[in-house]
Amino acid sequence: MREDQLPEVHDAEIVLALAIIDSPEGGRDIWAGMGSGLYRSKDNGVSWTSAYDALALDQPLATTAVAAAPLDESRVSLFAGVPGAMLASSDGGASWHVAGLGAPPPVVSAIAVSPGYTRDGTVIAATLEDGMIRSTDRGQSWASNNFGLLDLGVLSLAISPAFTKDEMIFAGTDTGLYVSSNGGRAWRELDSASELTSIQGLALSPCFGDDGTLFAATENRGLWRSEDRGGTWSACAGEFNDRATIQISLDPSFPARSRLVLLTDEAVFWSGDHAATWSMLPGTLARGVTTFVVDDWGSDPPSIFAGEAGGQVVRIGSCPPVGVL
Amino acid sequence: MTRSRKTPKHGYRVVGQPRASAAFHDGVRQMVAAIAPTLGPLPKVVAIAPVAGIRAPELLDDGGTIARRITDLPNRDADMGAMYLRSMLWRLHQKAGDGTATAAVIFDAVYTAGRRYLAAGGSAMRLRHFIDQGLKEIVEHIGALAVPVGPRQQLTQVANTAGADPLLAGMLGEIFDIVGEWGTVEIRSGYVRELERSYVEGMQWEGGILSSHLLTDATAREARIEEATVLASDFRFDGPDDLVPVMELVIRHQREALLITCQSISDRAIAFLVANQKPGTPRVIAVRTPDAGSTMMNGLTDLTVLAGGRPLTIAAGDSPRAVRIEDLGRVRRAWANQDYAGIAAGAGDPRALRRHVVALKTAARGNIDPEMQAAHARRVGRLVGGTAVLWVGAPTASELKHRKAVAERTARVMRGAISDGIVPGGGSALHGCQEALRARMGCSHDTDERAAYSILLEAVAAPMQVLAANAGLELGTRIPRLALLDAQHGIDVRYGTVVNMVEAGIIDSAAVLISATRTAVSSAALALTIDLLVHTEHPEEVLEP
Repeated sequence: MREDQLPEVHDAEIVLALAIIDSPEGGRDIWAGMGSGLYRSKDNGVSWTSAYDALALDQPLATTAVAAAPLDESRVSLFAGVPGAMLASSDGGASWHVAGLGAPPPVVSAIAVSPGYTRDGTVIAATLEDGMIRSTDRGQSWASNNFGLLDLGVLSLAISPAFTKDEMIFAGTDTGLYVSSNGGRAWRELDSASELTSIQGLALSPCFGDDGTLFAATENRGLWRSEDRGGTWSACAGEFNDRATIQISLDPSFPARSRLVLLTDEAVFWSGDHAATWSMLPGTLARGVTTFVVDDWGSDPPSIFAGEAGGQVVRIGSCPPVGVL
Repeated sequence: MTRSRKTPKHGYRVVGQPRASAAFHDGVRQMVAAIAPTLGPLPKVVAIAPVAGIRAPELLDDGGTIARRITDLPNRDADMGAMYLRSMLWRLHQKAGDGTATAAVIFDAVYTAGRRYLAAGGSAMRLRHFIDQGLKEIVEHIGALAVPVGPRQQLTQVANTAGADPLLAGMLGEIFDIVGEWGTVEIRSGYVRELERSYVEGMQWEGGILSSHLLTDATAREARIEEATVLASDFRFDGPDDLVPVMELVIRHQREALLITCQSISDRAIAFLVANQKPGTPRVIAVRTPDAGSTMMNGLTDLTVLAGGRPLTIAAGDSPRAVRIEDLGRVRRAWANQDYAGIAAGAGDPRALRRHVVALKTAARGNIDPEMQAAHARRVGRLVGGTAVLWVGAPTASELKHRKAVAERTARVMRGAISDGIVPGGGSALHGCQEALRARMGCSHDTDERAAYSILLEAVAAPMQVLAANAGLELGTRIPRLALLDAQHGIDVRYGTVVNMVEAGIIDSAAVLISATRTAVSSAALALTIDLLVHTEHPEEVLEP
C-alpha cells in the first residue's frame, strides 16, 4: 500500500470529492475537492497542485463536489462545486468561469455530467438547500429545476448512461428517491422507494438502458438494488442492513464483470459477484475514508484512491502501478 | 268601460310522434352538419354570420365554438334537437376542452341508427339500457389502449391535436413537460405579440406587497429577502404596538429577515417598520395573506407546510403579542412586488409536505365539483414546485382573446393526457373497439341487445370515416378495408396512408376521447327515449268586462 499525502492547509481538512479522468496529454488526472480547495495530481497521487491559482484567492475555497468529462479530443471540462457557485474550466484549471448560484449560497453536494456532454453540454448538480440545478451550456449558466422535488436537500445524484435516449436522472434525498425522465427539468418521487431514506450514494449500471439496474446506498438502511429502473427495490446483503452506506461504485464493465465497491462508515468493501457477497478492502478499516474513486477495476481486489478525514488521499490496492513514488 | 289586463296564463304546445322524433332529428342533423366538417387535421371552415351589423362572417374550425354560436333554429321543433345537442357539446367543451366534433359525429351515428331501429318497432328503453352496457365495453377498451404520454414531443403533438397553433403547441409542450399533471399553469394576456413563458419557483400568491415603502429594489419595483423568518397570519397590524413583540422575538433569535403575511397593516405600522430598517435589525416585507377571502386558511396552511411554523389567525384567538418562535417558519428566499408575493425553499418537513400533497391529490380526484377539483389542483401545483406562466400575445385584441381561449382549452386537454395517457388518434382507438363489440353481439340472443351493439359498431367507425371524408379520401377505393386495421393502425388522412398512429404522432388524449364518447353515446341513447316535445307559448292579452 502506498500513501500519498496532500498538503495540509488547516487542521480540519477533509477530502470531500474525488474524480479521475484520462488526460488529453496522456496518463490520468486525479482531482480532489477539499475544505481548502481543489487539487490536481498528474502522477497517481504522488504530488498535488492547487487548481485555484488562477482565482488568486485570499482564503480557502471549500470544494464539495467535482466532476470531469471530455470536451473534445484535446480538452477536458472540469466542474467544481463551491459554496454559492459552480466553477467550470476547460484548460485544467488554468482559468475558471464562475457562475454564481444566488443568495443565500447553497452547498453543492454532487455533480453529474451527461454521457452526451460533447454534444448536449448538459451538466446536473445537486445542492443541500436548493434542490437541483442544471446547465445546458457547459457550465456557463445554471438554472433551478425543482418541479416535483418535495425535498430540496439532495444528497446524491446519478445520471443514466443511456441519458441521450432516456433522459433519466436519479436524485437521493434525506426523505426519498426522485427520478427525472426529461433531463432534469422536472422530478417525481419514486413511491416504490419509500423505505429508502438518507440516500447518500447512487450508482447506475453502465448497461442501465437495457438492464435497468441501479443501487442506492442509504445512511441507516444499508444498500438497496433495483433491476427495473426504480420500479421495485430489494435490500442487498444482510451484513449492511444496519450500517451506514455512503458511496457505491460499479465496474464500467458491469454486469459482464460483476464488481462493485462500497464505502460504509466502517470501511470500504468490494464484491465480485453482483453484490451477493462482500469483502473488506484491506487497509480501509477504521481509516475514516470519506470518499473514493476506483483506480483499477481489473486488479484483485480493485484498487482505489480513498480520501480521508485528515485530508489525505491514499491509494489502496494490491499492486501499485509502475511509476508511483 | 272595459279594462284589459294580461292574464298570467302560459300555454303549452305538445308535439307527438312521428313529428317529434323527425323534427328533433332534423335539428340534430343541422347542428352536426355545422360541426362534423371540422373534424380532423384537414378541417373545413364554417362561416357564421354576425348577429347584427355588417361585419364579415366569423370563420371557425372549432366544434365547441361553432355549437355555441348557433343559438336557435327557425323551426322550434327542430330547435329542440339542436339545442339538446348544443348543450351537450358545450358542457363537453367546458369540461374536456376538446372532442366536440368527435362527440357530434358519434351522437349522430347512434341517434340515426337508433331511430331506424325504433321505427322498426324496437323498445327505446331497452335499447338505451343495452347501449349504456355496450358503452362500458368501449370505455374499457380505450382505457386499456392508453399509454403514458411520453417525451415533450408527444405533449406538443397532443396540443396540436387539440387545436393549438404550432408555436402555442410547442410552448405548452415545454411547459407541461416541466410542470406535469399537477403543476400550476397560468395563462395571461401578454404585452407583446409573441408568446412568452416564465417559471416561478416555489409558492406564489396574489396580493403583493402592502406598501411600496417596503420595496428593496425601487427600479424593479420588488422586494427580496433571504433566510427569512415567516409569520403566516391573517392579523391586522393597526400600529407599532402590534409589531414590536414580533420584531423583538425575531431580533432575540438573531433572525436576519422577516416575511409577514397579514390582512392589513396601517400606515403607522409601516412607518415604524421603515424607520427601523437599519443595519442590525431584520429586513421586513409585509404582504397580503395568501388566498385572502374564504380560502385564506387553505393558503396559510399551504404556506406553513412549506415553511414550517403554524397558521396564526384571529379566529383561533392568536395575537401578535403571543407569537412564539416555534410558531414561525423559515424560507431561504421570499419576494414580493405590487401584485404577487412568493417564497422558495422553505424549511418545512418534506414528509409533512408529502402527506399534505397526497391528501390534496386525493381530495382533487375524489371531488365531482370541477371548481373544487381545480382549487385542490392549484394548491398541489404551487406546493410541488411552482408556477409556469404563459404570456399569450397576438396582433389584435380579438385574436388575443381567441388565442388565450385556445391556450386554456388546450391546457385542460394536456392535463388530461398526462393524467390518463394517450391513445392512437384519427379514430383508430374507437375503430379498434369493433372486435370486442362484435364478440358481445355474437353472444347475445336478445333482439334489442343485438341492435344496441350493431348501433355502437356504426358509431365507433363513424369518426374515422368522417375524418377521411373531410380530407377528401374515399375509403375502400384507395385505402385498404378498414376492417383489417387494428387499434394501433389507422389512416393518416394528410397523405392517405396507413400508419402506426402513435409512431406517426397522431394521438388523442385518452381522457378527452373517453369523455367525448361517453357523453355522446349516453346522451344519444337518452334522446332516443324522447317521445314528446312540449313548447311553452307566450301569455295572451285578455279583455274583461
